[in-house]
Amino acid sequence: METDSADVIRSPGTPLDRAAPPATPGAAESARSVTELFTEHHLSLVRLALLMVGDLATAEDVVQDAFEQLHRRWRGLRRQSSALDYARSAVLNGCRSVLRRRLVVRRHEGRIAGPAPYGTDAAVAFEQRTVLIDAFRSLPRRQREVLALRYYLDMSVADTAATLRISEGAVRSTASRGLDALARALPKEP
Amino acid sequence: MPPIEALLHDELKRVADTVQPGQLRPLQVHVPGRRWHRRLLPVAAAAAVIAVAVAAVLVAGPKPGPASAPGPAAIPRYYLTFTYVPDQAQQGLPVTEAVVRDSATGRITGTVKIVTDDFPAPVTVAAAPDDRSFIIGTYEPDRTGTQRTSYQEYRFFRLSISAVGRPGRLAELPAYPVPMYAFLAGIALSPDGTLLAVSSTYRVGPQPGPPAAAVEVINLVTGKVRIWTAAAQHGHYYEPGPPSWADGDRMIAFTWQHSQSLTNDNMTMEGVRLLDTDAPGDNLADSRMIVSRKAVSGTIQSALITPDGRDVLMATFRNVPSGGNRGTVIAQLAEVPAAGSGPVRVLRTETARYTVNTKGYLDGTSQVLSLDPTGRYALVQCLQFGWLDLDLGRFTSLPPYSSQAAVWGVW
Repeated sequence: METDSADVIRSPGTPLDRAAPPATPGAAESARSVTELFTEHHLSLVRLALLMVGDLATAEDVVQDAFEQLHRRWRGLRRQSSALDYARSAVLNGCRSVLRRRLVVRRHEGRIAGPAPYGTDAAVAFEQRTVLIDAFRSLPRRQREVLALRYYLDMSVADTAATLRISEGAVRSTASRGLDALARALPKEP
Repeated sequence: MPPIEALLHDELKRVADTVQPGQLRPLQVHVPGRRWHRRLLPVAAAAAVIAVAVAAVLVAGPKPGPASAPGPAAIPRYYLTFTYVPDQAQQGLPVTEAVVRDSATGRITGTVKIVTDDFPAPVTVAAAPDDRSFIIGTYEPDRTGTQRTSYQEYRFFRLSISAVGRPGRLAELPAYPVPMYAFLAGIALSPDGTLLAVSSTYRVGPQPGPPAAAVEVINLVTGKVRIWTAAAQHGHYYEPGPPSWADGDRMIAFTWQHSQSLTNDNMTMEGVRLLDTDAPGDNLADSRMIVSRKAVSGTIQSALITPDGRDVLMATFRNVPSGGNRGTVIAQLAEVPAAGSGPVRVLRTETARYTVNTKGYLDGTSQVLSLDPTGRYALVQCLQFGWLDLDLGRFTSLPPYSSQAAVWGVW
């Protein structure tokens, strides 16, 4: 295939794109299954991510990424009935990545130019912060995850342990430490 | 539940509930898979044809049929792009040249210069459904060679292509009224090739002031023109994007932007609107918003509705980080249900690094340029220029290979 010298664009030619794999018969069904799952749980997953990362735009991106991961791995899931657990795990993993990146950026603030990497979705961010929510956000990541699963999603200790892939004992102790920290942060009643 | 736990439960729920369903962007399916619902249509149609044929044979007995049946859907044979070339006959000034290429090979089969009083001439273009001709619009062709006329002299030409891809001469169509001082965003031919939709903004009167938005439908057979307009209001003026037809010659879709203010020309994309040309009235603002800008991530650059009206193919871009002088531009092509709800199907994503010098043009290299009459094959640019099989989600690059500037073309 020739590239014409008269074209405005004279970038080096690139070969025909053969990278896109042909569609497989299961792809459409997989897409539908994943879509149904996420249509049902999209809102709750975004809300969960919001609790973790603090702004809606990032929360949506995290859930979107989780959605894509789940789709790619749908046919490899051992039990597709556990897809929601997988999705929650993927969302929490995504939140961890976001928080890690923020930490790195904060450490390099002053050396890295550019706008703040996260943060100010005025409509939905923690606009009515309370002491409790502020304290929640300052907890270590694992404590936040455990408390969100236990007290926002009302998951049992066993389910929380399964989702986070930690022991039930670790769930109990982490929750206990987190609750203690929150209690200490609340103003003492006179 | 002890008080701290109950308190935490209530607070987490309160914060989480600040997110309501209507705020969320739809999820996107990053799958280059087939559009199964479309795939079933030809299967059903084929089954129906076979059933009818079998019944006919059973009833009437065998008789000779046509020599050959139509082949499967294929990409349009030729596509048209535009380039600027210095023309010695014009003192070396750049003139616009239409370049015809074979869609299968990308080979140039012919070129045609479009010479007007502008160097180079700005053009609009639409492909005709016959796969052999294009309508090209431009301002005031230099018929006298001396005098520049006003912008109301917008003219359309038909460019026919021979079976081997050789372009003929530009044949001027009768002059059709386009609002004075109009800036044309794009044109599109209806599926039967008789109606030409024209999107424009035009200045209301000779005095400077906010422009009005217009969509016209010109009947190329009768010369009849119908126009819908939207004047500036609420402190904004509006700008419709290139039109596309759906539901035969009834519906016209176009992107819709509003200005920051009557004096600030920075535009904000609102989404995609649909105009029902069968409905009474001439108010363009009565067109219906079918896809909000929030339906996709990033800024909508262009959008075309599929001929069956089911989906809108959109090109978007976003910069990461936003607002910086250097970073990554993410160009994306996605198919969004025209019904306004349902998952978004992302067909292609490309990224490139940008600097302050390259940001402007990289943002413009995400485009949906043209859909074939079946709505299956789209001429697109997602950094690279090429065509996209919407059913298979497969992209094939075509010349002019570009990840450096916007390409303007149709098929």
